Amino acid sequence: MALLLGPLARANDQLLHDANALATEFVAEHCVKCHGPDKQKSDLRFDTLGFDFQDEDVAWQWLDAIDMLTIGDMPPKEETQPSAEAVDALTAWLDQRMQSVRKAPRENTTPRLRRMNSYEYHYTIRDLLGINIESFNPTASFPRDDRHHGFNNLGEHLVLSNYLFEQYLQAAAESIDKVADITAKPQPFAVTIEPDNVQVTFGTPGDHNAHLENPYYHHKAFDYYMVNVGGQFIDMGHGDRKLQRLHSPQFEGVPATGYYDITVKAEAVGRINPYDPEILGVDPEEPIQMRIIANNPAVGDTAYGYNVSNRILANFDLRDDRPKNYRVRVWLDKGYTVALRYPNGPQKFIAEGRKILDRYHPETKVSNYRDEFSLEAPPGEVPEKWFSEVYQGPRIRFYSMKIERAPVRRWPPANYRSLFKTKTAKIDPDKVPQIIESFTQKAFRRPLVPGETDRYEELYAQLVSKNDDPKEALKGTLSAILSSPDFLYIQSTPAVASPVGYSDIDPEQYALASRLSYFLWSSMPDQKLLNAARRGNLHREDVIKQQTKRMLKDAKSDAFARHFTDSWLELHKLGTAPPDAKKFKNYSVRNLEPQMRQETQLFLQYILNQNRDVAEFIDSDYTFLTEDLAKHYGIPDIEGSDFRRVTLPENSIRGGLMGHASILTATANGIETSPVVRGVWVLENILGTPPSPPPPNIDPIEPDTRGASTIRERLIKHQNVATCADCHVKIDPPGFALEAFNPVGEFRSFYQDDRGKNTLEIDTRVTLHSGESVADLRELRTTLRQTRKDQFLLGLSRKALTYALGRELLLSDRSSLDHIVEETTNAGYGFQDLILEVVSSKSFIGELNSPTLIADR
Amino acid sequence: MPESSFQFDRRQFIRGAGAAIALPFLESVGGPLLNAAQPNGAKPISRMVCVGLNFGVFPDYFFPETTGAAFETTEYLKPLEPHRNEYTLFSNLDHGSVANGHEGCHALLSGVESKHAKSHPGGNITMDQIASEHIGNATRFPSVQYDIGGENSIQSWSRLSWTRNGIAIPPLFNLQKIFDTLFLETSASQKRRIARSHQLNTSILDVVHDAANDYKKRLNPSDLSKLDEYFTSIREIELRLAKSSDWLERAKPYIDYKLPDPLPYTFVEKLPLYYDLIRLTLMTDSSRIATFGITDWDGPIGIEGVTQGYHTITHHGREEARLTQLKLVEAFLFQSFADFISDLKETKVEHDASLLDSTTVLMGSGMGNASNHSNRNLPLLLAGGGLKHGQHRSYSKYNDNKTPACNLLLSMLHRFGVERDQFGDSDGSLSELI
Repeated sequence: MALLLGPLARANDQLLHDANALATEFVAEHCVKCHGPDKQKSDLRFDTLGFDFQDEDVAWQWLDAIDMLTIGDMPPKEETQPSAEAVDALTAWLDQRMQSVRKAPRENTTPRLRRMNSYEYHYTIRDLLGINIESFNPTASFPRDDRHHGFNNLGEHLVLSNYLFEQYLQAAAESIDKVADITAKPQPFAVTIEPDNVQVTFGTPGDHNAHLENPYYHHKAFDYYMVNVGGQFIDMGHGDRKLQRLHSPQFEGVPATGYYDITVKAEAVGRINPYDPEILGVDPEEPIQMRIIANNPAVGDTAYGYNVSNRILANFDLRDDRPKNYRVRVWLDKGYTVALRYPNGPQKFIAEGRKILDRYHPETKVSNYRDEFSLEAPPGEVPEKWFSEVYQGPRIRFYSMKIERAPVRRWPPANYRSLFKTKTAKIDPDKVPQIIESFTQKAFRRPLVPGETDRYEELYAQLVSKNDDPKEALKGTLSAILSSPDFLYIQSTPAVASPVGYSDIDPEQYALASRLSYFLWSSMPDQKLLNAARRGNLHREDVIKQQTKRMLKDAKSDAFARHFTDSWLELHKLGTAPPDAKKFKNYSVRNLEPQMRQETQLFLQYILNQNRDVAEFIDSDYTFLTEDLAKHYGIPDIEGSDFRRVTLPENSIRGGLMGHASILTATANGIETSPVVRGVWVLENILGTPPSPPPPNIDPIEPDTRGASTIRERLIKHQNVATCADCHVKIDPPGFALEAFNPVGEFRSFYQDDRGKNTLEIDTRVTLHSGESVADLRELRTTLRQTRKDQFLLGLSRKALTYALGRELLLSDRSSLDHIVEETTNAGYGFQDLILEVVSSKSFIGELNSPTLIADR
Repeated sequence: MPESSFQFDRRQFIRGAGAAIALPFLESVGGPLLNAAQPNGAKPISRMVCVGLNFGVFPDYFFPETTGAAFETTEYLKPLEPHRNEYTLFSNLDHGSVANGHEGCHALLSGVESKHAKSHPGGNITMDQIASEHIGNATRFPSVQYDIGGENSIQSWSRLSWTRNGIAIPPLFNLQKIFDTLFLETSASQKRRIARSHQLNTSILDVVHDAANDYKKRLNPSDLSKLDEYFTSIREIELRLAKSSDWLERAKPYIDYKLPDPLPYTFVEKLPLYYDLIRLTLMTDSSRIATFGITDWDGPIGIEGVTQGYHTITHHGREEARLTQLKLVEAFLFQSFADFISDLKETKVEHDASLLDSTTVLMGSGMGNASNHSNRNLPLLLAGGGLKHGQHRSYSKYNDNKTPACNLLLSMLHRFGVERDQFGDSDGSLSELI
């Protein structure tokens, strides 16, 4: 924040002494009561803090105090307020003292090295080796990267352990194999899965389900209604994502990685049916959907349950009562199999099916039916009528699925030819030094020091002498390059010392190039960026800004939208507590989670690319929606699964980040909402003023949802306890305003019980800590936009700079931060301007600002 | 520094034959089954099992109101009645510095949340891993980690075992994979491939160590500490590679046990099989330390009357309908635990002693009460190990006089033979158990 330099800027010793006295007096009068010997609220104490600004902790605490004073959050409203002049004088003096500290040469003890995190490694492998990574993830077994305040790209917290290093060795080998292990040009491959190949039984012959194995028969306990009548087709009637998916156990996966055409012949049956739609919970107006899924049988079951490798290949709305071929071309990795689901089908078919039978089909032998479905004793007799013969509910009728390799034009693939410098599958041993050199240079993201590849060539020679196979030896060598520190580490902060080992190139230019590309792409620099580094002028404001604009237009910048929203807005929490599948059916049925995520990413990208006012994050009259999301929000007339910018209806509850289902879901636990969790989120991410964590030894309020009181009434009791009140008067109001949304972000006016019955009414009227009263989220947004915009900008700049540097901010970054805020404000609050100020800030570029310095090197 | 080497094998196992660079299997001690009998004078073998219930336990059906030896049995403790003298219940033990919420689960065996690991001298290493370091190379697997699986099981908050470096050890989920890892003999060609990749990795480590020395010269002094992690990692892997070679040629134990084929589908049928495999792990001395996580499950539960997700019903808000279902699930968890204790008791190991006598079994949760996510008064139950049991021991609930749950963990370490005065925030051990 821009602060004035007062007359105290000319401080001599006497003035300094006076100023110290002034500050001490101010603190004694306004702060020490709560942050002193008697109380240390928020763990802060000012009477013993002192003025040694060389101490990073001391300096930060004063800086936070300045922020609180300027925002007006402190001293608390009910206390005597200092005069505006006193606050100005104090903040000006503190700021001036800070300036002198910042300028003083300090020994920087924070490491500037950081290793790549998992996703950076993943994207880098994609770009370095030209691998399609839709299903291929060599980082799958890496340990989770530590998150700190939402960020998982901070060097201090990215530890390298022996366990991770083993994973590096493995991942390097797998990645190289992925390119190198090709056979002869793949032969055409096609397999057709027919109803007879589909697994319809789950028991072993002889057990009580054995009679179900007759391929011409009927339903199946474990499949919850899959029928194979006369081998012509199979009907699939359930939509439970944890239960059986239609697949063939005989098909063991595709023989090679590449593009495949999948053609499914199917139709929708029974969409219009005589049953009460309430029983099955399926809307007859909605087309029956077929989802094609790919997964890897090596890491989980193809047929049922949770498989981490599950990837949705396509969703089709099926035509009613007439079979049709549905085709999609997709990338499949070797060994992947394909399965089908009916995602918007009945979710709890076993219970629902019983109700249907009881009510509509008394002619079936219900007892037998129950025996089968209860998984208990074998049925005493074979029923006269089967469920499948009478059932008329909605289902997918499957006829066949063909999986066929798409024609391969050039062989070997481009990434093979480029890695091994060959036009055929054969590798020329004479080219090995060239192959190693070119790969090393690309992997290290900079020119090489003379002789730098010698050790890798020696390794190659050593491996060849051991096992005689040049290709295997080369693969081992390339793996070693991917395990070296030059590949694995990114320099997160500019160097000050001059490195050795370089003559006519400036390594700092290349370090800057990497820093920029890991900021915007989470991956390695491309050739254009490296060229700018080679010219030695990447540090120039115009050049780096121009490169940034170029890079933001590249699809690789999706990584920024994804991972910056994960970090800043804590969207990484999406999916960590999957919402209850029954109560919030649409979440899984419509596959809302990725759509929610994408709404927020598109929103951020739009504000970024159009350089729109950052205040739109707080309050906007538009968002990005698909039909599914629009339905979720109760917005009519949006059709289809493509995202589009939608201008929100007048007076809509949506608009701004706080109306995004992604955030409302990530701040709930999948079952119920907590105004505290959401309130803390607003404080941390919109207002930039995270509250202190609660003391560990208190017992949280136990939820009692039997209907006597709302969470609001119980929390207000909480506020009566003084130690709780300090933070809860700030946390609870925005949290209550967000109670208008259920755990998956749908609007609600009432709480509901498990049967979907309304219980208590929701009250969103609150008075903010700063004094304004608002009726709901709409008014909260307007108020925050009007009164807290600068505060929001500062918070956002802090987050963006942290993410860009890949480390926690230091005191020395404060002037960069102030500069970013000031320039962005002057330029009209555009988000792209903010990012451009981040990359051209001193913290990001570092000492690379003297052209002569470079010439000297 | 020795720690669990199970990850090695797990990765081997999962990726199987496809991997070109494969790290070696730790091979078996071989020898006859039940070969764990010690030479005269050697210390008897100690074992431990820790079962973590990651969605907590409903306190009203768990804790008895009365304390001492005559404590009344409760809804959940009923199936344990036959073992009344073989277990102890604890009230008011918890980890004082662990905040409320799911984060407590992964701190069950350490008392330290992973995010605070750096500010603790020992990091957030868990008790079982201390024991594992103590065991070193004496068994095929210094420790094993199993988990029943399910969507929440992939979250790091549900991991029970953490290394000294703050890494959560990924558990094995699949029954068949666990069985094969323990008992399926490695083929000769597989062994050759492992040996080859072992060699290759040794060469790679040599070269990158060299490269890192050059890299070091280009760094600021402040970066050296970061690069130290790199050098340390290399050293530790080399050590491990050397050790694992010792096991490569040894045969795995043969056992007369078969998993059902096909594997069952429901939670109620699957859970007892995990307990079987834990018992077999101990019995064959494949490992002496096992942790077992139960978070949620895949597929149907197989209990009539349970229609909602486990996570949902733990957020019961005291509603009748949800509590009824929660009781069904949790009662089953205790029933299968009691069966496990019976099986351990009936299994005879060295000197014809009961396996239960040499195995200390902890069952509990790092989360106290799932409904309000309180992590005070953790549900903790300790069985076996030849300790003095048969009591419900209640400790002070007042902050100024609290007994840290780490005292219990330290006592388990002592029983295991680890000599140390302190673990986590312990301020003593529970001498009343000895």
